[in-house]
Amino acid sequence: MLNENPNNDLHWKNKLGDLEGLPGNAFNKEGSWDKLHERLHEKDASRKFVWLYAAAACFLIALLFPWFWPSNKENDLTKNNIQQNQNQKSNSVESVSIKKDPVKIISSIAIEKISITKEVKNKKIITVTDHKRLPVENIAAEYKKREFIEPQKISAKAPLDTHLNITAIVPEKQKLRVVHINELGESQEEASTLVRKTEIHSFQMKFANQEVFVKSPNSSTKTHFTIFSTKTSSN
Amino acid sequence: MGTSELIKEAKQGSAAAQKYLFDQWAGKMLMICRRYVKSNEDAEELLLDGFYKFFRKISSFNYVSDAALYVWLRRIMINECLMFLRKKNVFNMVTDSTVEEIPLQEEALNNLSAAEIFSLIVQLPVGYRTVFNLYVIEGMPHGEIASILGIAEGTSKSQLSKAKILLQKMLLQNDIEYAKRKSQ
Repeated sequence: MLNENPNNDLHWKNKLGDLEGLPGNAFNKEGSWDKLHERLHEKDASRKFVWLYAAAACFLIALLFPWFWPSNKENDLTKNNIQQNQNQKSNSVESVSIKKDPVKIISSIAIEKISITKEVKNKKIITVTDHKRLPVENIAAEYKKREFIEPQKISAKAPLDTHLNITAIVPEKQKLRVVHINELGESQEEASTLVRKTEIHSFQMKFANQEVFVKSPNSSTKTHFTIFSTKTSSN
Repeated sequence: MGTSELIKEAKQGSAAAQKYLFDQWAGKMLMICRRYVKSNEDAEELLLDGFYKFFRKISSFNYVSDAALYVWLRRIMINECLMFLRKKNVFNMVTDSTVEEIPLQEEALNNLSAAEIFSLIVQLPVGYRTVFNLYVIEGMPHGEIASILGIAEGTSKSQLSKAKILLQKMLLQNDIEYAKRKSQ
């Protein structure tokens, strides 16, 4: 190829460059254009559909989002409760395991502790406890029941965070009544007067026709003397 | 309407402008495709694929001249043809160390029309034809041809040499027939 003749190649190129068609083969331009036009617009239409599908998918996700959101929130709550109750786990586990001691059982029933014990892979014990006060009449019945209650053990394979397995109740914060300092003073004074009134007794005695009674307490409070009075009874 | 205006309108999605451009260039582009693939149906299919790509990518094309547009379109068509041939796995060529220089007879070439030369090229085997087209007609160096076709540079040279030997034989035969026709 070292002795190539570039002019020879150029001759070929020039001859073929102007060729636009062959005598025998007629090229159907219109038919080809129709095919091409169809292909170009077909793709445009399919692109429009893709956008429509994408929009519909987004709309569906937006609709379904509220269904998933509360369950996540619930899971967060349970996680928090589990962490909070990890400190109390020793007490709660004890309350279930000491069921043979009747005195302790009764005390544990009085302040009921519903505990769910979970054994996870690393053998940590996670408990969720709910405190609820029971009426005294139900204690005996509850005691009988408790003798047969085993601590609920849930295998590690079971999902931990489902609300079916864990009943987590957040302890309610005690709301203190906001009292103005002046109101606080008055109420104390009222209470003290009430106490004084109850301390002062008024009584009656009968001696023959005479009734002995104590005079009104208001008048006597100032002097701190009890005044006895008598009056003749009709009987 | 000038070609630059047509390109602008085609960029905006005007079907009329696209059709006008297709009518203007389809014949030449079909001949390019026919030089690479023997079948007329395949060539037409490749032409449509090439124009489809051209209209899809037209927004990135800046019109300078008709020659630049021709070069761009031709490049698209050649790429389509080479992709088609590569899919058919036709480039399993063996390197031939003996590369001979074959001068093609200019006189014999002058006696032939463009259509006759075209028919001679189309008769070449696919490997010879592709290298001949890329080297002689498109003016690509052997290194570039080798990288495009995924062959050794020596293979490209040997394929061209063999293509020229075959064409020489064809030209001689054609020349004899031409002389016969002239004498009659």
